Amino acid sequence: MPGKLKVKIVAGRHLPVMDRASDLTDAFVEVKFGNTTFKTDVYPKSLNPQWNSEWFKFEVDDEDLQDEPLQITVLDHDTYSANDAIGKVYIDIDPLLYSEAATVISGWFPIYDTIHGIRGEINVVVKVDLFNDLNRFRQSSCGVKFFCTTSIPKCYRAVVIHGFVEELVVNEDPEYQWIDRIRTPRASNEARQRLISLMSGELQRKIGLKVLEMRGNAVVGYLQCFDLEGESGLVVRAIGTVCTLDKISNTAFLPACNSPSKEMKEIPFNEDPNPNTHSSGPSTPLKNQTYSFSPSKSYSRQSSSSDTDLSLTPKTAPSPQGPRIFLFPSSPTLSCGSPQLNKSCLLLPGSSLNPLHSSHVSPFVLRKSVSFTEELLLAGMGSGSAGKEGGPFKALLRQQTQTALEQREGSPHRFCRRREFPFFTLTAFPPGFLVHVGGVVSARSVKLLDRIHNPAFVGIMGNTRSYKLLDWNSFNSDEPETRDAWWAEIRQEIKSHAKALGCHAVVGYSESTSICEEVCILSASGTAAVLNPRFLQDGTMEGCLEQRLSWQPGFFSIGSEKGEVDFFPQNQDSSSLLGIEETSPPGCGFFHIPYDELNMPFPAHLTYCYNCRKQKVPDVLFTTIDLPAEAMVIGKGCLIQARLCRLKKKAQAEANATSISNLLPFMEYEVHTQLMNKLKLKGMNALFGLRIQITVGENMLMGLASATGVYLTALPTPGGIQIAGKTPNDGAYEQHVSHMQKKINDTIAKNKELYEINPPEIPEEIIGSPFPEPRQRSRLLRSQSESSDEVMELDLSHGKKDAFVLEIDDTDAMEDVHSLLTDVPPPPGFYSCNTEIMPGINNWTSDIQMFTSVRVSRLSNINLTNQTLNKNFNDLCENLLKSLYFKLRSMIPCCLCHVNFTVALPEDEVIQITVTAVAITFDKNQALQTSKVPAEKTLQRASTDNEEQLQFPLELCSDPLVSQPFSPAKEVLENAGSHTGIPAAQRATSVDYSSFADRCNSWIELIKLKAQTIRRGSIKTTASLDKASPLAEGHLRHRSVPSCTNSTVSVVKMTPLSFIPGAKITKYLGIINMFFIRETTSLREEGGVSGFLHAFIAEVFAMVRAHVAALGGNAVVSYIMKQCVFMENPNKNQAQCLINVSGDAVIVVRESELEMVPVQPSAAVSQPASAGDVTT
Amino acid sequence: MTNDLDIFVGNTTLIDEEVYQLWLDGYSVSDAVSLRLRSGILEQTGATVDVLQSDTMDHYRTFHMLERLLHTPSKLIHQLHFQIPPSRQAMLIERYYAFDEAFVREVLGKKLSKGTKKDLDDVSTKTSITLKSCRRQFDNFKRVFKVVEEMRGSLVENIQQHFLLSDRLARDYAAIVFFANSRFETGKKKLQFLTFEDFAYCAEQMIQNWTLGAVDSNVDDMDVDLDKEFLQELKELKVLIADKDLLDLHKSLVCTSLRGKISVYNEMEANFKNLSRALVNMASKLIHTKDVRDFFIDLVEKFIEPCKSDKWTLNDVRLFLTQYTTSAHNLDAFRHQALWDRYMSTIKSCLLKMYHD
Repeated sequence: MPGKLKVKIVAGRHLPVMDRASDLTDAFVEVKFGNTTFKTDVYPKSLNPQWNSEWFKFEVDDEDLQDEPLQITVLDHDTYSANDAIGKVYIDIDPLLYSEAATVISGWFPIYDTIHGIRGEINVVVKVDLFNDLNRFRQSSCGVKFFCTTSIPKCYRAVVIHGFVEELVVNEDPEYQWIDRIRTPRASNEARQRLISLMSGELQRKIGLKVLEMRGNAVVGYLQCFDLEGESGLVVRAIGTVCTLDKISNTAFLPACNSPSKEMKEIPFNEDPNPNTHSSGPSTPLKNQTYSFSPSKSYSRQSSSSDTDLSLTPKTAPSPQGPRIFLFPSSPTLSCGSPQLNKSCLLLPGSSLNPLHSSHVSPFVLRKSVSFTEELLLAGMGSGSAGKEGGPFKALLRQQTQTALEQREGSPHRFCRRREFPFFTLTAFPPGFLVHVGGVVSARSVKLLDRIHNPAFVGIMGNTRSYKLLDWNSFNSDEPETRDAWWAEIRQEIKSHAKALGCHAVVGYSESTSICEEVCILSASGTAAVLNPRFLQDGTMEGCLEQRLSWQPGFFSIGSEKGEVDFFPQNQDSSSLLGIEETSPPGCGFFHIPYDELNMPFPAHLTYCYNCRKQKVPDVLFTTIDLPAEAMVIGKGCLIQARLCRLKKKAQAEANATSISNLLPFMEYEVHTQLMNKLKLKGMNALFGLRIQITVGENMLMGLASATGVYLTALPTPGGIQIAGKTPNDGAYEQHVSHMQKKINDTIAKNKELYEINPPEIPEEIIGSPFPEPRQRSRLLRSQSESSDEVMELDLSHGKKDAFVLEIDDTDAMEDVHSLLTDVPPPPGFYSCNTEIMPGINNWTSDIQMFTSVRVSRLSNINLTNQTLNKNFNDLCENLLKSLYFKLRSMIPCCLCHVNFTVALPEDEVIQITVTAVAITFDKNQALQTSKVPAEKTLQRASTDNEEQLQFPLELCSDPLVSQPFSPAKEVLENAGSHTGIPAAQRATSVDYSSFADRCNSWIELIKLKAQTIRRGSIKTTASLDKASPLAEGHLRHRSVPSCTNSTVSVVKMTPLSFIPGAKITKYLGIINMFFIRETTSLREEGGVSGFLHAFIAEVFAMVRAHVAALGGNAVVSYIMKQCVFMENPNKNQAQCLINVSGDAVIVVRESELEMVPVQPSAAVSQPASAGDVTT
Repeated sequence: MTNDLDIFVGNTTLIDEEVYQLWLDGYSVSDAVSLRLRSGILEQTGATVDVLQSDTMDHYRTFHMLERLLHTPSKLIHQLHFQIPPSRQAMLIERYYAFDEAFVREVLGKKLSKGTKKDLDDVSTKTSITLKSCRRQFDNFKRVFKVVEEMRGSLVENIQQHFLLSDRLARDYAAIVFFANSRFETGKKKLQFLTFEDFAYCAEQMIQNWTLGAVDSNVDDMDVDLDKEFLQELKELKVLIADKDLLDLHKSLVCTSLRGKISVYNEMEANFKNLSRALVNMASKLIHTKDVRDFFIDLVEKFIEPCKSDKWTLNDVRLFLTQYTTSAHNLDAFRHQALWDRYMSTIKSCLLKMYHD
């Protein structure tokens, strides 16, 4: 009984007219939580009622607090007939459950009706009194913080990054229940909204439990999705990264800066005044236990067949094969016609696609042996799955009075499972965390969905408990098990891919599904990486008790509590990696290959790093993460997309699944080829933020890959694209080819200019200097690798090194080349990327515009071919982008960041594309200014750097609790070493520009501010006083809202990025996760499909803003529209749309305001230069 | 391949002022697209017609959704549906309530009724303003009229408060409401040379001096209706023309002081009695609603036209009216000095404003 929820209904405004006779409304409000309902009095005859109700109090379990939404219904009282509902407000009270987030929810909420949309607003105040629950076996997980942000949140410091957490909940979809035939669309929609709200609440709670068990206190990079599986139900699933976060107590500590990368850099340097207290961390004392692990036991090797059994749904026939990993189209022998195929592939870095090498069919990526040895651990554990305890199990848990350790042992599978996947949903990391990046790993699997047969749930939606019963019900428990097993299979595959790349972890990990009728494609992808355990232990883990458990060097935090030896397959290797790390300069280290050069999993050109010349790097690198802040880049980046359609025969069930799984590898291959070609065409050598989406429709498959191309200084300059004709003797043909070649060369040159890619020319000899003839060496290696054969020896590069050869042997190939050239660069003044920040731009202004654009296109021609389809799809995407550029032209110069495309195929011949992105204006003039000055500042900056670097070890030794494996002195030496490791000039050009620009920026802002201060001096002084006391945050917030004199509506900014340019996040208020359904039966009257969806999306934005404002926030970061399912029936004049959005509600303070704070000693220490500027 | 659905929604509602104006002017999407094409926007931005079409559609949809809120601008300010910076909100409102000179001259003083609305297609043909735009402007007039008609307090302030308009636009609306309420005739051919600004000025003068609000600031309709008591009293001024001695004395006083100063002295002297009679007669008749309606026609027919035919300059008129008003104070037998001033100051302002080509 640990919580009391208090709700007060204050007033309403702009209500709709419900009584035609009087043109007024007699409104009252029902407040419902769980099964308890309160009502306000009727406020007669007003469109702006003032209820001013008493406090309605609900006494509830914290479990319910986490699961249930508060439901507020506004009704029109009718004496003679039934009361008419005006609309509802669902409020997720989760943010009130963590001590650090919001304390009260208070504000105006749009009253929402699934048929009519927003109908007026209601003012509500919600509070929660939470009593401490010390019961270790509680089912609630209040206090665990959730962040959508895929990096360590700005005002926190990661003490430990524990690792992967996942969970899923399954239920029947109310839309497909028998009762749906007799209830109104409104009732059905509301049942669905409510169910999903409940399910996500429950999911979050369960994830929270796992987090507590892992001794974390937060989930970062939390990604929740739901799968509408139609008849077979509704799945809500989530993944995230468990962390122990420490709030940086004094936010003003952090020097204000514009670029997020900068901030991240600063975090570890900040001294935590109280390193041992985890402000809201798990209250259970961390015990100093040594667990006895038997890796051999937990890793009992299973035969693949047992795994397959697990993954089978009742209906489908057992497939004779396990999750066999086969790599490319070539291997038909490996595949077999079963619908349960797991198709997967590795998108490998630097796998140069040369069609002349061997044959087309030959796998361009081939691995000799993928470790089949490790099958699902879980297979042996029976059907129990993590977090999905059956009722009896839960009861057992409650009865048990065991220590945490024993509890773990009591549920071994739970324990093991969690350990299984060294995945991180994060895409940006503290500096030094990433040691090496291997490349993209991805896995897909085609599954057949099956109907849930569940007699227990002949649902009455009014009963909140019904679904919980369902979930804990033993006879239903096989359902989530199935889904769990599916995902486990995929994750296992990802893990083994990563291993093949010599990596022990996967970062930037994400999962997605595409469902069409009863076929479902599950996809997962991430970037194989080697992480720095030492960093975790010594850097951020200092002060953490776990550290004192004296683990072996080479121990890695993910495996912290399990000591999974397997994690670091070769201890020798890892230590040698560490050795490498110490000497490799920070700007290029992560691009060095993590895999063994002599035993490469695929053919690749390797060269010595162009930066340090010591280690090998691939010629091209693909990743799913953001560009690391310290990576050295030349020029700007750009959005690169590969688009692909494949026709498929309409088929049923298994035949359908088979044909899809047969198509998948070809699609992956082509998408990869396209990406590679386009990357070359841009003159770049690396892709970041790669996201490949494969969408399945009735009669086609679509693939859309988006990524941000950049030029990494560490990687070799990409060669051009060489076109080779098939009939060399035909003169006209030759001419055509050479014409094409010229066009391509021109495009490359133009792109290089456009994106300012002008790498310094380095003579070949210098590159090769440490070891002679590196190119030959690599060729030798390639010929060793199994796939490449004699053809390799054919050198087609016409003089130019590493030219990329495209053979035009048929019209298809011609089309491909043409399509390469049709991509139009953005108009002048525009840049675009799908990552958080655009390399090469760092002087953002605070002018941002987040938007969503949706297009639905009907393919007109009946006789579609792959070519026309491809062209249509390509045009659709290009036109959409053009349209965006046109619309945002007033923001020039600007950059579209985090451009996120989603493709859906709602019907035959209908393509839906949804784009969400943010346009940020940047200041051209300041960029110029910066580029002029830095030379003279370099020296000063260098010294600053040293100080900053020094601070780190100093901090370390100041912490008495840390038993230092390294002496501080050594650390200093190392740092110094890493400093001198790179030419000073280079360092200055690439690393320090940004920070200098920041300073310039802030300096200019300061001047502006001074001017302001003079104007409104008195106000400013009080403001800075406010700042000093944390209590005054409320004031701050109001102040930070742009002074809109006559408006009571506060501005809420939204962005898919994890930061707001020009502003500083001072507080995270909690996660926003909302699900809405809108339906209409008067489509034409509402302006057709466009009018309908336009209004709905605007409404969704409005509701998100209102919730954030009510929490006391003024911005949403990491905003994402995870789902936008649109269905129409024009003949019936009907349409329906489901939207799921999420993000982090935050309070931001404009940097200009922060800087008004009198110069703080800490700021002066970490940023001496800026402090100097302030005083002068 | 056709786009069934094509939308763009920004967190901050994107508003293109140029498209907004086209929408306000009542152009259809296709007309708006071709107008934008002509402005050369494609050359500037390198976009295609499709892009322009989709952009225009998007804006039109947004405006359509905003229109409901624009009817009650206070709602626009407080609503949560569209996030629009305050300066943009003000722009939206101001432009929405802005009207065309040509249109307002057609409707000014007419009853804002359904009948008038039906005639708007004629107005549209005559003014070559689209019917859609005419309707919007007419509905704006009517909406403002309905809201402030029965309200206490200053007309201008009420309009400003309820419709959040700029001071200038609020004053214009006050004039429109005032004219519509008293149904002043402004459409006659003889009045065609007068601009809306002339009328608005006159309305302002009349509101300031002749309404109830001029004497008592705490009554209903204070700025909308003319002060009935005042109109009743105006009959008393008749003495100025009825009493022959008084009329002669008045004339001689005016003539003496104007000799040598006015360029049309002889004409003035000859016409004095006619002009004086016209002005005083108008005053005495204002109690009748019909004569109030004809107020401007009377001013033109009985004063402005005679003067114009004698080629009076504006300065002549000013000198004459000033002298004519002040001289009355020197008539010992004339006791209604305050009333005279209240009447004449407004008449003088109006006439001076209206005395142009």
